[in-house]
Order: sequence, then structure tokens, then C-alpha cells
Amino acid sequence: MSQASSNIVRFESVSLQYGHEPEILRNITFSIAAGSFAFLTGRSGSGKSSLLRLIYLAQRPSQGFVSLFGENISFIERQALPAIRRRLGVVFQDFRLLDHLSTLDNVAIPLRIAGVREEEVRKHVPELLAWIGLARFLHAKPSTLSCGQKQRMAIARAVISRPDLLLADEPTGSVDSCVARRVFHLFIELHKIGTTIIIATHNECLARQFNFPRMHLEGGRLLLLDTQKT
Amino acid sequence: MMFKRRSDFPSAGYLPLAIITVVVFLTTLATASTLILQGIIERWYHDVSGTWTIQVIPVLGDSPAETQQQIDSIMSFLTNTPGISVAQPLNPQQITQLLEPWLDSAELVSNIALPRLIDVVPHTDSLVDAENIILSLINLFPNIHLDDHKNWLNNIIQFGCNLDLFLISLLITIFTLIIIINVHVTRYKIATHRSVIEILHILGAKDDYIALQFAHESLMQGIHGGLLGLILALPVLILITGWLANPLEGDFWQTLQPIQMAMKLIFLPIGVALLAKVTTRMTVYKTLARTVSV
Repeated sequence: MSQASSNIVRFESVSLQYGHEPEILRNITFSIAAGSFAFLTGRSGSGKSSLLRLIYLAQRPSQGFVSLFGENISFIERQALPAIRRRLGVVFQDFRLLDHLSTLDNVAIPLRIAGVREEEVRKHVPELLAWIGLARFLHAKPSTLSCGQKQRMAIARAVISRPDLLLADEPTGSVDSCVARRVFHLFIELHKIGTTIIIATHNECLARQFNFPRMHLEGGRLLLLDTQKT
Repeated sequence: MMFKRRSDFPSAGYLPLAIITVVVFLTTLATASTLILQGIIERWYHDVSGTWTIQVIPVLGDSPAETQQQIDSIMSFLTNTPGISVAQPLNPQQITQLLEPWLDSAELVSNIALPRLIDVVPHTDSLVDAENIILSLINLFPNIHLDDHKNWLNNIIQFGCNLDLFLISLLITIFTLIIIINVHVTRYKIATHRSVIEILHILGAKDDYIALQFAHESLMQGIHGGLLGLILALPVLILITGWLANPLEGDFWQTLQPIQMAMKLIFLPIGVALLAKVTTRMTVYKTLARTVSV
């Protein structure tokens, strides 16, 4: 565990419940230090995506408090959320690309939201797409791309604005093991340049191949908090 | 396309554009028709105001020569009265021509003992004592009737006021209709693109970023639909004015002041487009604030 001041994410006694359904997350307490890399493992339906939703501010906790970049976001006003969200990069399990937009426009969204000038957008996005092997698909729509290509597009969109915290929900769920390994290496490269990374995956074998801390969710509880690795 | 700007949302399609086109088309026709009527009324008012008509009612048993003698006396009186600019008697043929369309026979008209008419135009720059002139005339010539068209002018003024009210009510109705249509179309678009909005929010977009994109699309649809409606209305307007110009003759086109009218009509699509933009933006803010909790 790191010191509280350098914690980028902090959960304290957090529970999450949708309506009158049973609790999905129960009394979760953990913290993630800035610049760290952590795996969030657990079987399908164990609550990994819900925990990530709490971090990327798509959901408010039913109980407890969540702190992000030192701010308690449990009671923060809606108008203040965009500034915090711009420090996040999210790779969704189902990619959530905008089908009517080209690869370039999909990846450019975070830059345009941040108000980056169009000339810079037109310069940086093709550079990144070339780096992840999508240079030929600059103007292609997501529907014309393979699963692996969509995956890389989603990752490119998540990292284009150099977020402080990158969240990836099952980023290798729909790609073969070879592509999965390349994706993980891409995350490691990003981690090396200072990005804090949390990867949710049900693939524990893959997670064990990397020497990073691992949090394990089971039945809505955080059972394992393996923070000894670096 | 004019002012094309990138949007993160798919196009709303042609339905809003078609609605705006139809609304502006109908509004242009109604507004232009009202403006044309106002122009005609102003022309009538201009022609009639500040003029009098003296009716010399023939005395039973008087010969035309005696009536003409009376006309000459009245003319002499008017010519010597200060403040009278023009006094022009209408000859009997002119009066017959005026009445012929109503009575359908020149022969019948010539058999009726019609009053003789004198058009009088007082000086515009002098304060004419109309009542005194009328009293003097009636004292001298008891068989005359002087009409200063006050009743007629009052009716015209009232009709003009009613037209103004009609035009204002029409524009208020149309603009209210556009607001209602826009609010509903925007709410529908927000509901349809809920997933896109959620992604944009998660990627850090403020409501303003989303509202601006919706508003820009509304503005463009307002401009394109408005101009299309205006252009489609032009040939219909030319037909209407051509149809009106025939019976009215004279300097109708000059009275119509087509350039000034075009300047007024061009404000319709601009007004519609700006209204659509503002309404859409406000609706997006309100809807997102009400329906999005995080």
C-alpha cells in the first residue's frame, strides 16, 4: 500500500446495489497508488465491471466513499465530473465505439472534448494509430474492422489524451492469446511512461504472467489484495 | 455544405429539415400576403387622406347647364379660398365610367340623376379650417355634401391595425410552434443517442459540448430548411402579386416595394434558425440535467 497522499484511487467501505437487487459490491476498501499497475480479477459476474464503473464515475456507490485523484467523488456535483473524467482513460469490454464515426474521429473524441486544436488532432491521432498498427484504417468505420482492430481502436481512444489513470475492462476478452499478449505489452509500455493502470480480467492465468499486484473479486467482496508485487 | 462542422452524433435525417421548410414556406406566404395587403392599404390611405370630395346633388328640375353653372360657382369659391391646392371637377363621363361596372349599363347610368363630384386637395403645409370651409360652402350651396373620407380612413386605419395584430399573432404562433417542435425533436434525439451521450460524458464531455453539437445541427437545419421554404414560396408570391397587380394597375410594384419586402422576409429563416438553435441548446441542458445523474 502507498501513502494516502499519493493514492490515485481510494475506496472506503464501498457497497453497490442496483435498486432492490442484492448487493453487487460489499464493503470494498482498497487504494491504488499513482503510477502503479494492478489487475482486478474475478469470474464473470463477480462485480469487476461495476467496480470499474464506480471508478470511471458512471455510477455512484450505495454506501461508503470513493476518492479519485484526492477528491471524494461520492458527493461531488455533476458539473465537476468532466474535469476528473478527462484524467481517465477507459477501455470498455464491448469497446463502445461510435459506429457512425471513422477510426480517426473515434480516437480523436477525447482530444476534441479537451479542446485540442484540430491541426494537432490531425497530427497526433494518425501517429498513434500508426503505432498500434491501424494506420491503414484511418477512415474506416468500426463495423468494417475485426475484433482485434476494434480493441486497438478502443485502447487508442483511451490513451490518446495521456490519461493519469487507465481502466481496461476485459481488454483481451475478444482477441486471441497472441493479440492479448501484445495488448498487455502495450499497457506495460504506457505504465512505463507513468500511467496508472487497472486491468479487469477474468483470465487469471494471463494476469499471473505479469509481476503486478492483483485484486480478486468474488461474490462482491474483495478477497485477495496482492500488493506485495511491484 | 455551408458551415459544416464535425459532429459526434449521427445526422438527424431530413424530417426536421422538411418540417422547417414547410413551416417557413407557409409563414413566408402568410407574412408576404399580409405585407402586400398593408402596402395596398397604405397606398389607399395615401391616395385618399388629405383629400375631400364634394358631391353636388342635382336639384330636381335643374338642367345640366344649371348644374354646370353651380359647379363653376363652387370652383370659383374654392379657387379663391386660401389653403386649397387643387380643385378638380370630375366630368359626367368619368362618373359614368366609374359606375358602369356596378350598374352594368352605360345607358342606365346616364338616365340616373347622379351627383357631380369635385376632388379637392388642400395644401399639406397649411392648417386648413375644414369645418369653416364646409359651413361656408353649405351656406352658399345647400345642395352639396362634403366628404373628407374620415369614416373611410378610420376603417382603413382600423383594418391596418388588425392586419398588424394578425401578423404579430401569426409570427408568435409560428415561433411557438417551432419551439414546441424543436423541444420534442431534441428530446427524441437525446433519447435515441443516449448511449453516445453516455460515452461522451465518460470521456469527459461537459453538457455544453453535447448541447453545442445538437444546437449547431438545429441551426443548420433552420438555415437550410428556412432558405428552402423561402425559395419555394417565392414563385407562389410572384403569382399572387401578379394576380393582385392586374386589377390594381398603376404603380403597384412600386407600392409593393419588393426589395424592402425581401429584406423583411429574409429575417424569417434567420429568425427560425436562431430560435431553433437556442431552443435546442436549452432543451439539451434541461434534459441532461434532469435525466443524467452522474
